[in-house]
Amino acid sequence: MQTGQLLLILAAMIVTAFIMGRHRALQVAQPLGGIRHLRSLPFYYAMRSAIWCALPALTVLVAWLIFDQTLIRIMVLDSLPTELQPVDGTARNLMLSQIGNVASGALPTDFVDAAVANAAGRLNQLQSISAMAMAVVVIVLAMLGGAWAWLRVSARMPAREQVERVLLVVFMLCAVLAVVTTVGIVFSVLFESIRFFGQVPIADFLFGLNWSPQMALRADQVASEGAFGAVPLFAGTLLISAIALMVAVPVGLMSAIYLAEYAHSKVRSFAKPALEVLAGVPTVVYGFFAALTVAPFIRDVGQSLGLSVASESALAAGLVMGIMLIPFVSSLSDDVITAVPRAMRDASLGLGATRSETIKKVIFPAALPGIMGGILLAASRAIGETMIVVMAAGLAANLTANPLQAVTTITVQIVTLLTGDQEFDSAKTLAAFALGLMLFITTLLMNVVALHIVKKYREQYE
Amino acid sequence: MDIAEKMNVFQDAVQVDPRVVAQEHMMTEENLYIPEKTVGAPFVDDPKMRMRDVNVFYDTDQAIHGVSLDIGKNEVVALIGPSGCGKSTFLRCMNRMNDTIDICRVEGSLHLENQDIYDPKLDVVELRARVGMVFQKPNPFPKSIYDNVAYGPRIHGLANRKTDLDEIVENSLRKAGLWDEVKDRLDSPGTGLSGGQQQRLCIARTIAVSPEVVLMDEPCSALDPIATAKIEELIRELSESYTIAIVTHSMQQAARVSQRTAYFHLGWLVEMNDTDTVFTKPQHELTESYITGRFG
Repeated sequence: MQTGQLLLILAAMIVTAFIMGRHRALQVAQPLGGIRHLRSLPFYYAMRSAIWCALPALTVLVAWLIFDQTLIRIMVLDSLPTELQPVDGTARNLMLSQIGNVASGALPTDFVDAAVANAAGRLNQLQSISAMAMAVVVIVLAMLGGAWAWLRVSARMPAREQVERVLLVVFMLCAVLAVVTTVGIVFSVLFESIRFFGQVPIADFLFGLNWSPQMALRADQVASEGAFGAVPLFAGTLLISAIALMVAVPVGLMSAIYLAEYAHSKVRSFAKPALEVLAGVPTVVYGFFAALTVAPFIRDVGQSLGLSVASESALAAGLVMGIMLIPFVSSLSDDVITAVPRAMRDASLGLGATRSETIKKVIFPAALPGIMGGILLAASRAIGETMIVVMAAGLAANLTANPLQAVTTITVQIVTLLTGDQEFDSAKTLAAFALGLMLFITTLLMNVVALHIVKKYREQYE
Repeated sequence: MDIAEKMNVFQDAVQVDPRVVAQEHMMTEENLYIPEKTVGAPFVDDPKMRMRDVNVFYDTDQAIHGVSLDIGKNEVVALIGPSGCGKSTFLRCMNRMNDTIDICRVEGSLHLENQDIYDPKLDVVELRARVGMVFQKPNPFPKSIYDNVAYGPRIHGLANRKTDLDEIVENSLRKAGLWDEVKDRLDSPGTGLSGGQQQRLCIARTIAVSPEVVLMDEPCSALDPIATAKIEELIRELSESYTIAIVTHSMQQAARVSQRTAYFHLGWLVEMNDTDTVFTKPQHELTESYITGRFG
């Protein structure tokens, strides 16, 4: 039996348990004079039955699915004659995939050893036994669980408390899942980075001014040795992010102030969603807008002014990224500005302050934490943004502060290092992980600093 | 302004045909109609503020119907009446705080001495410096106590030097009876004070710009009895140097602090007279019904 079918049957059983549990609760309640004599509402008895039906069965199902393949493999390999027993891990994997291919019919039996063909037969046999056994065990467990819960329904049983305890555990597991995933990502990046720093000294990476990650593949190849100085990448990232924020923060903030404080409600109801549409444009669209429209425009303007502008420039990428970030800043700022209580505005206006004085001296300080949050989000997006820079800023790792030249960023280099055919033990590939780690640490530090600033300078209203 | 705020504004302004509602209020009473003309003595000689035939509309709903009254120099005028009678709306007309509500429209003539308050050429900033306002709920800025009081003087450029500003802050806090309680912690946030202290801070903030008139919109409704007693005491002291109009729900408070009392009903000014007269010998039956607690 297929696992999918089994799950369907299990689902049907859970629903049945739910309905029967509810029915049973009502039945118990009737002679007592109604459901108010039950300790919990019938829904909770039903939920309890469903949980009893589902939880043990599902636990066994998951455990079975995780472990049965390992067990079957061991048993299949054991069945091979001694002269065919694999000697090391690679040979073992090779043998297993050969057996698997024969078993699934992808490899005709005449091509292989008779012993291997036998093993394939054994594999098929074991797998069907395992699937059968799993189905039987799971269904029996579900039935037993459901029946147990059904029998135990009584007026005094604290079904609600038990159901809520189970739900609490479910919520907790979901929270843990997110944290564990994050930790997992950090560690996987960290370990690869440590491998990278085994090949390239950490000081060279952090303070090197030259980035050209070409490694010789053969000993006699006429290629560079590879230079892994990350400074040009950081400089490029910061340059483009700074340009983007210089566009997004003033424009976003002022539009938020206009929308929240001055705009008529009709204008606002139209303009705010329109601005938010900007946030919905895919970054790749911004990317070709930057590469095909903005970059040539900047180059032409620069040429007419007698400046030499690269056809891919930091300015083009930064400007377009800035436009992309406007809705982040404006929408969040608008929300927090609107949330400042009316009493604050009244107090300021009542003292004879003008609207702009009220905004500057009362509303802005009160809304500052939220505004900083918006800017921070925008900054994180700017540093992590990839598509626009790939398309518009170029790949050349120039160490320059001139926004008219092509630069490259950390994210772009990660993309180029990890696309195409790669070997996972060369410094070239591992460099991507080290860059990722640096990026992560940078954003983390930025968040910490910004949170600190917000905490220190906020003016908290009740 | 969002819908919820608008609804709040509307609450003061809900209007059916008021005379019909007035009759419904007192089904058992006869002849309890709103008078054609305000009963009592709404006018005084040489008033500080003079209001004539004031109508206020929220969109199409009329909240104030032809109210005319005077507020004399250095007197405390109490505006009383049941909820939704328009007393707060009327108060907010006197320093044009209603301008901040898009749908609000004010008709009639309102004068501060000889200055037409609704003159289009008038600088509303200057008007609000002359006519200050204290709100229902204490609303100190989330700044230090010092900065709260210094806010007005700073935006109006009243102090040239730091020492001048210090002096204004100290004087205002002294007048508001708060100086002794906060003089050692002027740098701590104003929002950290108790409710009563916050309201006195708001009064100090208002009088720091030396207004001529102080409007108070139920200044004690969010306070406990002890804090209320302190504010009432303060109002009596302030009336020596300022003209005060106070909206209150408490008739005892009106009796304690005011010299004259105006009784509003559903947007009409029913009766206005000396406070003693209003409370001891009300001339109109609506007033009498209200102060004897038959409705409210």
